[in-house]
Amino acid sequence: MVGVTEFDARPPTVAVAPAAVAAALALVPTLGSGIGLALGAGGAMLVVFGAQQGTRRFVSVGAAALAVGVVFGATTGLDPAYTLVGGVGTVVAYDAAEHAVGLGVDVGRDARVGQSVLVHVFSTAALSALVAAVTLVVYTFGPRSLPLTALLALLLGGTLLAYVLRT
Amino acid sequence: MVSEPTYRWRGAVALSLFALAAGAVTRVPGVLVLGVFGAAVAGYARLFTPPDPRLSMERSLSDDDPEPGDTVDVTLTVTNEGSLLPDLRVVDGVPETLSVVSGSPRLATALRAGKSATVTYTVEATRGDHDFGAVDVIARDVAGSQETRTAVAVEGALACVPDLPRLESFPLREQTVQRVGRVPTSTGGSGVEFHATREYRSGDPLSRVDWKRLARDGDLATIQFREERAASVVVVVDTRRQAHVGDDDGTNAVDYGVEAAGGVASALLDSGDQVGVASLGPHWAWLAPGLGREHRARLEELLARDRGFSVAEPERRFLGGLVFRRLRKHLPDDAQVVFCSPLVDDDAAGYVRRLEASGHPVTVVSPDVTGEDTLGQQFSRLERAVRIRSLRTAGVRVIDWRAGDSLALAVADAERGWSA
Repeated sequence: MVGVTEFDARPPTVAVAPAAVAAALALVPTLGSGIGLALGAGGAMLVVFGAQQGTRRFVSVGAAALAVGVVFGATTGLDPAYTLVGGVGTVVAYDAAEHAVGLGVDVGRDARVGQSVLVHVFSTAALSALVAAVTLVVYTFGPRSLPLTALLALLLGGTLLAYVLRT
Repeated sequence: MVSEPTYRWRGAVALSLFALAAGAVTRVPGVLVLGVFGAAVAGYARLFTPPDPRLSMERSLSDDDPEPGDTVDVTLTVTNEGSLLPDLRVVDGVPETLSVVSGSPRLATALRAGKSATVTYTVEATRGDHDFGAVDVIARDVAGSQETRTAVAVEGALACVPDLPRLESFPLREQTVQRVGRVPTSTGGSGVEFHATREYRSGDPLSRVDWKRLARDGDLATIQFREERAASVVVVVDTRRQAHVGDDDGTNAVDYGVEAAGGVASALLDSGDQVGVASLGPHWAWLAPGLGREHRARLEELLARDRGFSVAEPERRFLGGLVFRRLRKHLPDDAQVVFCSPLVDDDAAGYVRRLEASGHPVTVVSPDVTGEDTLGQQFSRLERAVRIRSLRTAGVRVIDWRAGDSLALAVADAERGWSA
């Protein structure tokens, strides 16, 4: 009997690589803060490890730690453009890692997944970069006179409205 | 078709609110911007509706009538007849009885409207009928927040009917039918092997007169040879769930049993005996003893494709008493039985004894699939040896066939043991 291909539920390597790149990118804004870097680096490693092993829980926890690390890094007073690089990196890292885990479960390590990974990562990266750009534009050219408390009240009101209106 | 949210963006809103709160406390614009960005991404993920995959599929096989051991390339072509599917996962329904030897029957891709993707992999053909199952399809939207699962039935079957394995000869017990054949009997008559001499009776052929004795004593005597008759044989294969045990290679003992049955049937048909087959298992299969090329083809087909001889483990319950009674009823009175069983439990030996007691001489061909690595394997090996010894003591012929070795060799070895 010729060697039989056993099903390997770990994610394909090609699907894990984008997550690793994005996680490294997300660490840029954390470099200035000790606690932010520690949290972020730990989270990034957990995301990549989880993606490689096919453990969704590690990916989720790692991505949350990475996000909190980026927020800590941002509190040192970084320029919003840098913090948004961290935001985009975190979103893409989580998205790619979670997608990799899903691919591992559904099609396994030996399947062809190149196109799926390419389309998925590219669309998420493009979209989150667009959202970041719009946010930055609104921040830069938006109304200067609006006090912070008013902005927060607006956000809270918007959130409440969304909550009430949701079906 | 099932559509459901994947909840993969759960927690994004909470993290965004955390960033907003941190921004409010520290009054750093960068943090606040981060919170707004997070909320926007979480909102984006909720924009989508579950995808509705409309696919047409076609499966092609490089060879749909292969010999066992041949490799067959399977190509599944998936065409998107609906709108863009950014994340499509396809899993082909490979029959459980086939193993994939290269490639993967699974694919993840993005498929634009009207485009096709192919899944290519190779399976190794094994004996039997193999129906390909439905293709499982999983489609997700761009953000991966909605998922649709469905299955598409695609026609596809692989039938592998091997020729009966070659076996030169198979020794039978002394029970024959009233027809000339090759089994020596203890009755005197025409034949090859010397049996006895008796007084000449008028009508005896001149060629059988004992001329030497006439010259010596002047008495007319006739030489009698062992009469050689044909036998009617039913090869019974043990296909009960207990017999579905694999050896080190993972080859099923039922597969060995069917191979042995094929070899025995081929040898006996060649020597002019009538051969039938039966499956002693949850799925009853029966072919009455017969002769000729057509019968041989029917037997080949039955052994290869009938559910009764399948290597897939049966799901139906085996009603031992009922099936055994049915076998007894079908067996012609003067039939011998060749029982192909790994003899891994006492029931198998029990059936052999009952057949022997009811006037059907039994020869057991037992493929040995027991291992000797663990204590449990050694124990079952010992148990099997005890079973074989007790059967031999009871006068049953047992051919102990080490799985993987040549059956002809095992038969020759056993035959030497009997004649010694």
